[in-house]
Amino acid sequence: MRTYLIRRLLQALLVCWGISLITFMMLWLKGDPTLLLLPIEATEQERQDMRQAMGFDDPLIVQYGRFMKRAVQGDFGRSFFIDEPALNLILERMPATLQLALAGLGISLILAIPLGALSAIKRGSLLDNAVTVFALMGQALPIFWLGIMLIIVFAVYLHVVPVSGYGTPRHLILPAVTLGWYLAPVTMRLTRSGMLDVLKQDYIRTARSKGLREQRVIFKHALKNASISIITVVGLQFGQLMSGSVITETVFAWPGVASLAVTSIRNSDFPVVQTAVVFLALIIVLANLCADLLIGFLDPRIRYE
Amino acid sequence: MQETSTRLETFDLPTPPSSGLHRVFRRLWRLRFGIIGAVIIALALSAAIIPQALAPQDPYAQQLSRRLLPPVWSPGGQAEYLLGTDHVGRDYLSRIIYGSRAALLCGFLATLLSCAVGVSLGVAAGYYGGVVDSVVSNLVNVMLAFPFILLALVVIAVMGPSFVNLIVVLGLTTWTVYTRVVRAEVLVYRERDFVHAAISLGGTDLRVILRHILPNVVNTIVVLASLEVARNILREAFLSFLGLGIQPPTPSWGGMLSEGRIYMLNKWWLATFPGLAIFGATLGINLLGDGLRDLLDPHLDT
Repeated sequence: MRTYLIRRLLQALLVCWGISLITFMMLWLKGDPTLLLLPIEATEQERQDMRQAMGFDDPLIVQYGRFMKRAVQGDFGRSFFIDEPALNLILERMPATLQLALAGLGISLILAIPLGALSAIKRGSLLDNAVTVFALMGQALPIFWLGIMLIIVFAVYLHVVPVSGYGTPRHLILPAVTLGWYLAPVTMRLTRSGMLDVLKQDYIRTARSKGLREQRVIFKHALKNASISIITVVGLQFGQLMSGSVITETVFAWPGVASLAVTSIRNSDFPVVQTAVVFLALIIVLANLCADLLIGFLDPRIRYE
Repeated sequence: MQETSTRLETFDLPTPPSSGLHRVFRRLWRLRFGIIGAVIIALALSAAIIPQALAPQDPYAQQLSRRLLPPVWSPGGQAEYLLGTDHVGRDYLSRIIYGSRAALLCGFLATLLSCAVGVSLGVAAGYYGGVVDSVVSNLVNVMLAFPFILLALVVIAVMGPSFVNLIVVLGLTTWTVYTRVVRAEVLVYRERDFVHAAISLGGTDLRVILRHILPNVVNTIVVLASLEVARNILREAFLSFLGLGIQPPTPSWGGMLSEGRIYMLNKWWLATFPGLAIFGATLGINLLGDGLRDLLDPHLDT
């Protein structure tokens, strides 16, 4: 178990390093950072001044070292737009993003796992077909359109929820449902196939031939084993979750990190962009790591791979 | 763990031997969803290739006196503008038809690029193993840790929203799905006897890969690519929705959705129809892709 843990941790660290590298390189995509940071009309002298002040003329390695040294101390620079440390802006908005992310994840799991499992158990039935069709449609649906449609139907015509904003649980409903809908199809399919794989196993047949009640077979034997694949799925979903958050937060004007990232990108507010990207990526890495460790804990076979 | 398709299974009861024609119909019925998908795509393709023949009006012609007209079946609608007009008086139906060009072209080209990159990396990782495999796998892990959308947004915001940039960004950020699958398959095929035979007969690496391994992997790639086209259409739509994709006045479904969103409180059709178009195209491609998978390799689960 310990070697597995260490190996996964090292992998996660490697990924984090890659993230820091990509984030750092963002400023250099066009070759000269002053092209991004200063307006087009800036004179060559102004660009030179900036290069000297920000140290852009130093070798890249040195700059990267500087970037990392500041980053681990929590200094991600100050926003160009709002004169505040970028880190503070991100941390301010983190609760909103986490709230939406967890609500969306929760809804998708409540929806997808029982339906996925049921459709595997009752394979070929009407329910199974309905679920598969639903998953298929869900994957084709542009999520930003769904959000807008939900707003039109439920907020504008039916007046049951507010159009946008943040604060009360009622504000959370539509965004969470939208996000949940985005994640549900894949979770549903993977749960279904995980269950199908498990149900084919010999030990299920043994349990049934022992005369156990079907309910016990499913809950005690099938689900427990399928939960491994389900947890893998949930771990994998975090990447999707962050992507989905970008879309959902933009459509619903939800004050989270993802929408801040989008507006900062539009405003070329690079310190904030870098910080936001780093944090969102770190959440994904952390979630995947936890999921992997959980699976290693639950399924001894994986530890010895 | 294998993922299961969303294909819709039907179970056949044992039937007596049937005539050839009957068998054909049975086969077609089993592929009914793929056929529906193919029809939808054919429609979309014809809209993209010969929009002039289908669209009643010029999608760029502004008529401010006729702005924001509702669809023909709503009060105030006019027969000339079947789906109404947008905020500068352009016929919505025509814009939607012309918008298919951007969507399909983008989706297809981006998929081509990402497929090329992803498959090459996957083959290299699976065939050579060792250091190459480590590097590629770790690269994949790092790429997966980034929400693609943010990466794409940053790059486009920096490089500017042109059509070429859009394709390049989409292609270079979505290749990981091919690499993983292809690598796994190549690992399996590399150990097969016919590959050993080819190598021991003196085949160069390139020859072995191209003539022996790749043909077996092609089915998987085709199915994966077809589904990815749909996803790229969605991504392009979202980027255009944010203003970082296809620029106005070129009609693009995502852009139309974003323009229509401002009016969503009372001019519902501006936001509804582009979304339906995106949904329809994506659904069609997904159905076609699933149908392809059933046809080419039913055991494949992506």
